[in-house]
Amino acid sequence: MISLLQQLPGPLAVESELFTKTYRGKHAVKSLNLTVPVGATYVLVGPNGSGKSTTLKGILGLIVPNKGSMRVFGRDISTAEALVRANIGYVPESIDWGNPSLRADKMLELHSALYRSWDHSYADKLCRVFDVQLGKKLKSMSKGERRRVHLVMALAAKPQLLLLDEPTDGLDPLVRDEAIRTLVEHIALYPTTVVISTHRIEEVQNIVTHVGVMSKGSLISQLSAEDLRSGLLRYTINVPEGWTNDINAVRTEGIGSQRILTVSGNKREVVNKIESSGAEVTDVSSISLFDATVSLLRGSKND
Amino acid sequence: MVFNLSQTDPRPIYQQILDEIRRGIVVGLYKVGEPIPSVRQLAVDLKVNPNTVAQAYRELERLGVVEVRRGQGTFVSPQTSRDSERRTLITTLANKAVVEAKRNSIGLGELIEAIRSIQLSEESAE
Repeated sequence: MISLLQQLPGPLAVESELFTKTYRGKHAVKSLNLTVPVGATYVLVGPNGSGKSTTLKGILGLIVPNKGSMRVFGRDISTAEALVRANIGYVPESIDWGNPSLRADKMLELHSALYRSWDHSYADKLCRVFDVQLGKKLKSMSKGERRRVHLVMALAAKPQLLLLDEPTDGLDPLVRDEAIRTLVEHIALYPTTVVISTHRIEEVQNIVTHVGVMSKGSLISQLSAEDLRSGLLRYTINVPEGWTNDINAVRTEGIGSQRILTVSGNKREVVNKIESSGAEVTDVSSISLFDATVSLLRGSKND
Repeated sequence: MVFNLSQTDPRPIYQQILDEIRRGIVVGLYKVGEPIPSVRQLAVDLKVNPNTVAQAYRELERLGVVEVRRGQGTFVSPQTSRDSERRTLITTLANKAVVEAKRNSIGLGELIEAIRSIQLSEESAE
């Protein structure tokens, strides 16, 4: 049986232990045990306010936890912040980051000085790919234009760890597509661990290797993408009148005699369980990562 | 040929890529002894994780369908026969049809009969 909330095996790029942050007594994130294997492309999904951005800031050491710890490549962020951050590229959710009265070229120049691994010719190439207007001030740029500058800043440093917070937010469809392709090419060229938070999982569902689902500040699921796809199946069933069950479905849809259950676990065992409850299984199908995460989030809502 | 990758297909993504490369050999997109796209190129084109493409290529190499020539790329192995790849594809297709038929409680005889009648109507249309 595949567990939907796993401690992923190492070596780990990111490992948090009971990481907890409260603001005015309210939990922003609660007891996170985040595990990101080295080389993974890990997607964090969840509704607004579920703690995704706080988690990314925690990895970066931008917030200090009330409880728990955060380790990046084996080093505790609270004692080795500068060392850790030199290996991280970050595209923040808020585009107000940085000095808005700077021109893009000046911003890139300042940023490049912070990274020993900065690749000038790669930065030039990325600026062309993302059509960055180097002479323009950040404050006179649109949201999408600034996002593109941030993408160049994060990628050209060729960091060991990339943290992307809604990286395609505000980009038009063509640039979004270009950004995804550029990310794939980047992963192919340079060994990088990526943690990406996004509302658009369908955009990256063949790119991500691991999935973390967040709800109300907690990590409710964490496992490999293939485990999620093979371990969470959709069963179409016919049920007798007054049917009750102990199947423990993640999600139940449908009314009357036909129901669709989304259930985690071994297919044969689940089918046996459904049949012994008196229902008849008419179809079993795989679901997309997008549907899987929606099911997990809906399921957590009903708890 | 367009690569067909589906999230709702029960096969893992690397397996789907592997099957599509083999299909590419059958339809003549990739010729015996000639190169197939690099891992990076295919990953970017398909928007798939390069490690997943690499996994498919490793498996194809293990099966002897392709061979890696150092510094040159990945080639369809000279030992690969388009005919045998074609037979593999036919078996895969037949398997799929049988699984779908079973899932819908359709007998094998009925399925074969239906395939024959499709073929007949296509012939009369030509």
